[in-house]
Amino acid sequence: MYEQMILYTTSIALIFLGLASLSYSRNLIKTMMSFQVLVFGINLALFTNSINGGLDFLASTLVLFSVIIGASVESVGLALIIQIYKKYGTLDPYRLRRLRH
Amino acid sequence: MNLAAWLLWILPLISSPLVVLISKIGRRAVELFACIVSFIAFVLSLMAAVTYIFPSIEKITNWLPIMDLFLEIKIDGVSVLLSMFISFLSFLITLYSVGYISHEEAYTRYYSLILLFIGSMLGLVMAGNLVQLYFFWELVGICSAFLIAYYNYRETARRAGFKAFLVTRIGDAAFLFAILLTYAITGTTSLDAAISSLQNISRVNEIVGIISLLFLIGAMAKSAQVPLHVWLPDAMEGPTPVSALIHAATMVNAGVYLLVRITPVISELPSLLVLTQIVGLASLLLGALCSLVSTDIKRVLAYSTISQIGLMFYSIGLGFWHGAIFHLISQGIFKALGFLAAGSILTVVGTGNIDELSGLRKYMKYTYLSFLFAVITMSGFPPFIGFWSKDAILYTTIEKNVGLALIIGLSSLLTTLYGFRLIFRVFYGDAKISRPQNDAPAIMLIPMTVLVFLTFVSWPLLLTQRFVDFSFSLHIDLTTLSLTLIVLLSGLGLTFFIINKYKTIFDKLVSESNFLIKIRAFLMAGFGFDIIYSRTINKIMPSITKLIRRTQTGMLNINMIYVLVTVIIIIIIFIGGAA
Amino acid sequence: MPVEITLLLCLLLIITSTLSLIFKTTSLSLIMLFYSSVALNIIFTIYGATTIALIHLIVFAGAISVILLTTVVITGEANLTIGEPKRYIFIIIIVSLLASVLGIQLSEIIEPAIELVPTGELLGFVWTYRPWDLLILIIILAASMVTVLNLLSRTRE
Repeated sequence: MYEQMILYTTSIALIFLGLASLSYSRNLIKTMMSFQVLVFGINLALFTNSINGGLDFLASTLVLFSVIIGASVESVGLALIIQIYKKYGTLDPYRLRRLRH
Repeated sequence: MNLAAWLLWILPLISSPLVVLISKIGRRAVELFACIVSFIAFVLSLMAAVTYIFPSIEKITNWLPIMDLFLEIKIDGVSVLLSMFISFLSFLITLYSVGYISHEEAYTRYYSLILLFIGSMLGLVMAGNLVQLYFFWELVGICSAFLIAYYNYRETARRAGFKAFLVTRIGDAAFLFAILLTYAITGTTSLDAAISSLQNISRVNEIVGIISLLFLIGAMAKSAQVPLHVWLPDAMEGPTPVSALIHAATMVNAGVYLLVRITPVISELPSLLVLTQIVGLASLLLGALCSLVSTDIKRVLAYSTISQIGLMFYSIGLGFWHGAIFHLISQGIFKALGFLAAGSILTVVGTGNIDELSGLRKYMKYTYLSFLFAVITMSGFPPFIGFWSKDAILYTTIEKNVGLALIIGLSSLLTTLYGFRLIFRVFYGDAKISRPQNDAPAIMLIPMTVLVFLTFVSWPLLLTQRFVDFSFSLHIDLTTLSLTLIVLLSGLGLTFFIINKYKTIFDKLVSESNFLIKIRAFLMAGFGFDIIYSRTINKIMPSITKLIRRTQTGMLNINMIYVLVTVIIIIIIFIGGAA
Repeated sequence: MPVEITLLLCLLLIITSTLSLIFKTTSLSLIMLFYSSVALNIIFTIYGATTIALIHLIVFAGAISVILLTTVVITGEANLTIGEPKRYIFIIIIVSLLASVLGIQLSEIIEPAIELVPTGELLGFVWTYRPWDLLILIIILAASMVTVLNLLSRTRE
């Protein structure tokens, strides 16, 4: 029971870390890394639902889904980042103006 | 399970997309298919009526078990009677439109939309719970908007269709809110259960008043009552069969149908009854006055529709909903006849502007006779059915309040005036424009003849009596009869003198008096409702949109801040809730 | 599974994640991220979910790290900064949130919660809480307000 509490706390901490860094980052790669931290937090939270007694298969399946979706989002994001760098030469989101207005 | 009652509305809904497939075969196949489907719907409604013994609600599939929502239909007198009436009119108007849109190439769109409309209107009338009613209510509104904008190469038609959708949307929002409140209070949306429990609660809870007000607003928007009537005169941009079907006989009656279903709840709230009466009377007078000056035949008939439905609302406000249903049927018949005749004029001559038409009596005899019958019935001359329905309402009014009966008498006078104004301007006089060689094609004249026939037989009255338990026996009170006749004949005489004999004198009088010119401009602008609405919206909207635009920055960081703040708030609420 | 091991691993996880987001140079950041995924993986393994652990390790510590490294190489070794003078606020938020959540959970163990009568209002818990929890909540609100104010002031670009 203590373990669950500790794990939940760390997952909340990770989620907030990821969210705060996502709101702050001046660099797109830092954005992707903070997104990954966010996904870590979420997976941990999903996982701690299942540790009492035996393993709960529903939670494990959901973690699997989350891992796969997180991986896909990151890959697509990184591919876009490469294209952005090729076109604009900068990775600063405040400098990428063409799509904004 | 009453298969006829289920198939009656499912069949046109299913066959609406099939029209697209059949259009590969050819035009004749599509027309034949549409007429056959609407005829089958009519036959099915007759079968449902014949086997109708007692009211029932039938349910099949479990739609949403959490909300206790089933797919259900309600079979009682009102729905059976209205479904017969609607399917019959739809069949006649589909026949008519075979002739009307024979020159258009976009016939597939037209027929599929008409079939979709027929199916959804029948579904609306047969719906057994409020959610289903709302579903078909929306569907009917969508079909109406698309059919108004049928001539999509004309910008006025597109804007009129959008305007119709927008104004009825306000009513739809109110209606949805009312359904949600009903569900929150009673826990069910099935018509019988919800309405009876609302009726029982209404003495205890004030929220039932709000719910009924919202239902009333929804009905007002759909049936084009003051102040949400602004879409109906512009909706005449659509083809004439669309105007006849949707905006005279069926869709605008959906609001009346909703109010009839809600009557047990409304009759407990006297303030709401008074409000319904006020709305009805206001529309009655506004419609009659505005149609006195309109120069387009269809616009005159549109305002006349507003006025007649105002009479129905007024009758519901009196508590006399049987009279409203009977007037609904008779108004549907004569208004559809009027629109069909106007459509034949439009087809043969090409214009609907009164100023350009005259002397058509010699060349279009059948149209003239149909229009004459329509106007006579509309004014309420005995023994046509218009007289019986108006007399029923008048009689009930006199029992309650004589002052209001004067208003109804005034509106009858105005009805006679504008009706016969149309006849004398369009059909009499010498022919100015190119004389039409022949009347409308036969396929357009047959439905008109059938409707003419219906205006003076007693079948509508007998059917209404059988199904709605309309116990108004046709006693003829001599005072009301004589008063009505005086009003009507004086109206006829006034019109005859103004339009025919002393035309030049009155024209000179009107054009010289400044006051009368101002009144005429005021009436032609529809009492200024359009102008007020557009000015208000043009003042408010830009500032609101600018304010909201500023929250849409393109920057990821700002959007993530929104997410962060929301997560924090949710956690606070969650922690607080766990206490 | 003793509690101390879990505690240690969780601390390791949080420390490595924070470090990875704070460092300015790219390579250190990536290495820290890799370590944090390994720590998470060990947590998964301890509790017996070997399947998830394996897949997690392969995906995150294997594939995604490689992709990140490739991207960083292609786009040039840029300096990753978080915004120079505002770094301390970042840490304040995290610490306050951690303290609040941990404090609330721990306090429920040490002093069992008194049966609080539910009042039914939306913010009723504000009045029915003990003073310690109220203080922590105020810290959360203050931290979030400071964040929002700081960030919004930076958008005059």
